[in-house]
Amino acid sequence: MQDKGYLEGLMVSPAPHIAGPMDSSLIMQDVLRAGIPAIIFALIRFGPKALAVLAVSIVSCVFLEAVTRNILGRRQTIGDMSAAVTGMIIAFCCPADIPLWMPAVASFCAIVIAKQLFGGLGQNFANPAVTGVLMMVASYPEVFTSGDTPLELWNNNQDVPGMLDLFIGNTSGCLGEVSAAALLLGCLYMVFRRTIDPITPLVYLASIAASAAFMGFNPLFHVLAGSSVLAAVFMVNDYATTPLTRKGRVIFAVICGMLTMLIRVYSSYPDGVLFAVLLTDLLTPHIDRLTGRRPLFAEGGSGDE
Amino acid sequence: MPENKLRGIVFPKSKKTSGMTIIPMEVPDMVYIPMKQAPGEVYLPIASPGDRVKLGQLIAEAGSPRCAPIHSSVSGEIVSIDTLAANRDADELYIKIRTDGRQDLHESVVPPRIRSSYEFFEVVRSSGLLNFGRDRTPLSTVLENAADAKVDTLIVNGTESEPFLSAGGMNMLSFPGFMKDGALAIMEHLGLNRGIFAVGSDKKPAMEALKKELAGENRLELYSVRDYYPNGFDTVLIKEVTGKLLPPGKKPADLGILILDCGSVIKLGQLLDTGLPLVSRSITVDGDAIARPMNVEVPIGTHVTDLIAFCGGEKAPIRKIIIGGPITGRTIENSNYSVGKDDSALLCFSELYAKDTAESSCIRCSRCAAVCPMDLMPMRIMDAVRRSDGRAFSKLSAFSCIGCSACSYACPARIRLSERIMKAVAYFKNAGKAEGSAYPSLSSNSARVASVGTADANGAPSARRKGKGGRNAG
Repeated sequence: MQDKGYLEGLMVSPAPHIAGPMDSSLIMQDVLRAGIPAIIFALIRFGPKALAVLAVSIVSCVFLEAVTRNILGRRQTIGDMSAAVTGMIIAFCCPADIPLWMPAVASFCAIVIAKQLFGGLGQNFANPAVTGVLMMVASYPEVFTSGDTPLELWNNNQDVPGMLDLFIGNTSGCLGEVSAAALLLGCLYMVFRRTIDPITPLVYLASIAASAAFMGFNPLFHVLAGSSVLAAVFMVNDYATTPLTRKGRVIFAVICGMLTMLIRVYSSYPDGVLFAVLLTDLLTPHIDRLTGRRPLFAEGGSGDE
Repeated sequence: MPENKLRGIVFPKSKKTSGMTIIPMEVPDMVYIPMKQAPGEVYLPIASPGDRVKLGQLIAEAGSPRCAPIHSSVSGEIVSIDTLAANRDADELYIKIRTDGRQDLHESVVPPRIRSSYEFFEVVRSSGLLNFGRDRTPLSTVLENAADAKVDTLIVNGTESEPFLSAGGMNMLSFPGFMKDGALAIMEHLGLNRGIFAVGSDKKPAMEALKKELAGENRLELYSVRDYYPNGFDTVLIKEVTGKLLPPGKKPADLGILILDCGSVIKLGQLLDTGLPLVSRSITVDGDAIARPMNVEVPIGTHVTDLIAFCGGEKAPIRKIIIGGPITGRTIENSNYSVGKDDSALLCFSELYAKDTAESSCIRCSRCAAVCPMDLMPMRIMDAVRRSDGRAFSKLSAFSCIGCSACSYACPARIRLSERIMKAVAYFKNAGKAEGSAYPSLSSNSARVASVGTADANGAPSARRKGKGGRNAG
């Protein structure tokens, strides 16, 4: 029989021998593509300054990821594009006039401290981009306040822009947060591609609206102003730092929306989104523990550990 | 009643060969009939080199109830009975037969006359038929076990939901009569009153043919099973068809159900008609490296290189060969392989599809849980495996895993979830037996995920078992 064996050294693999159409890199590419409308809008609205901020954040995130993985002696992971996504979200949270070293430092906090020191993609308990930007917001609050963003105007009891201006993005603010329309376009893309579960952004925004209404404020204004929509699209959907089950994600989104409004109204920071996301991220392991899925054949009750 | 939500994978237009009639293969110059067709089998060759054999002639007896007798798939002369390095076991015997191309039928091949159930079981036993699919047990053994158990319903599994595979569907389309005859014979001799043909909803033509065939036959019904993987696994199929739940560790017979593969039932129908034992298999030959993908009726023992040549040869250099479906099949490392009774497909892939995918870390996307037909949370089970935490493992109901690999397929980080969980199931079960408790909580240093497969061989639990035995002996 050997005489016939002209095919040698064939590849062997454990079952299954084929893999699904999605891999981690394609998922991250979807998220990057979902950011394109917001990027285009930022370029139109803020010009080349926006491009510089984007370039600095993305390049420094990818570079730092490569260097850190190298120093830690781990497999190179820049191919999974998650560092680029972090860079994009950091840029989205920065005003166009920000000194360019700041997004670079934010990237360091995000990639090195929040992500790689905890084991890299999927192992981090706090959203890297949010953590990185918050370091900058806490250290240099004046850079992140221009005095004329919708939420600052509202805080100072000044006239706020109309709802249509807020929706389209005809306001002042960070690169990625100004246009709800551009962000929602990207959101639709991710929902269509099944990258994200639409329930999370919907519940998050509904929770903001409900909390605002409960506090006696205009719900629509608080949904459209500040980073609410940015967080709904790019932060509360982060796989690594949000719960595993749909039930858990709904609970996460409700809490996060309420915290957003509480911080927005009662803290000295004009917007509460980033703090709210970070705080709720910390609750994720606990939400996960409480919202186990019931297996078809449950041997241990609800499947909780 | 559990929610009837579809959990699994739907493969879009994944069968190139669907609709291609099964073509009988030209008899090759030489066949190499494998003696060992499933693990743990014993065969006793009764022919010797130099003997002339005819098509359908018995050439090896079954040495255990785990195996079925083997018949010559060709007429010709036995060249050798030899062990050859191959992909099954190294000590495996092959009966090498040089064919004469005449395909003379052996005298024993006559339409059987069945006057009693005893004769029916005898005919099935001597036919060498297997229950195809994942089971691979001799059909006679399956039927005898079912006769002993309180079975009242026969489900014929015609789902074939893995990509590429289409020979089963084409068989049902071409031979609905044999399928009906085979099923009715089984029901008659086992005393069953209900038979269900569970056909994948993607196989519309086969369903139409069966519908026509079953008109006026009230003992048999046709059931359209939603087309998704893994709808052909016992637990999932029973849930889809009857709504009943098959608890882990139970057999379909415990629910009064007998599940047979559609290919086996059709072969049985043919056997009852012609008396021809199992000498060929309907095989889907496909993959991007095959010039002419098709469904072929292949003599058992056909060398894969002959089969590839029959299908137009290589279109691109073959780098990977899968025997069986792309999800549950197995790869072979060289082409020293001949078609056995349990093979359903030959898939040949070029460099393009033969890439090794490295595992990366879990990104917590929950896709594994979304496709799990048992509603498990594979990512959390993997956490328990990593910590060697048997208690968490069992609390997550990991012991109910059916090993369908849907999670591994869906995982974007390419983590081999199914493989690792199945290994851990075996490991924890062993450890549990040794410790006398069903679900052990192992200390973290007793096993790590990498050693799950080997730890049970020399780990503490088995040593303790030995110690007990020693005390008893003393």
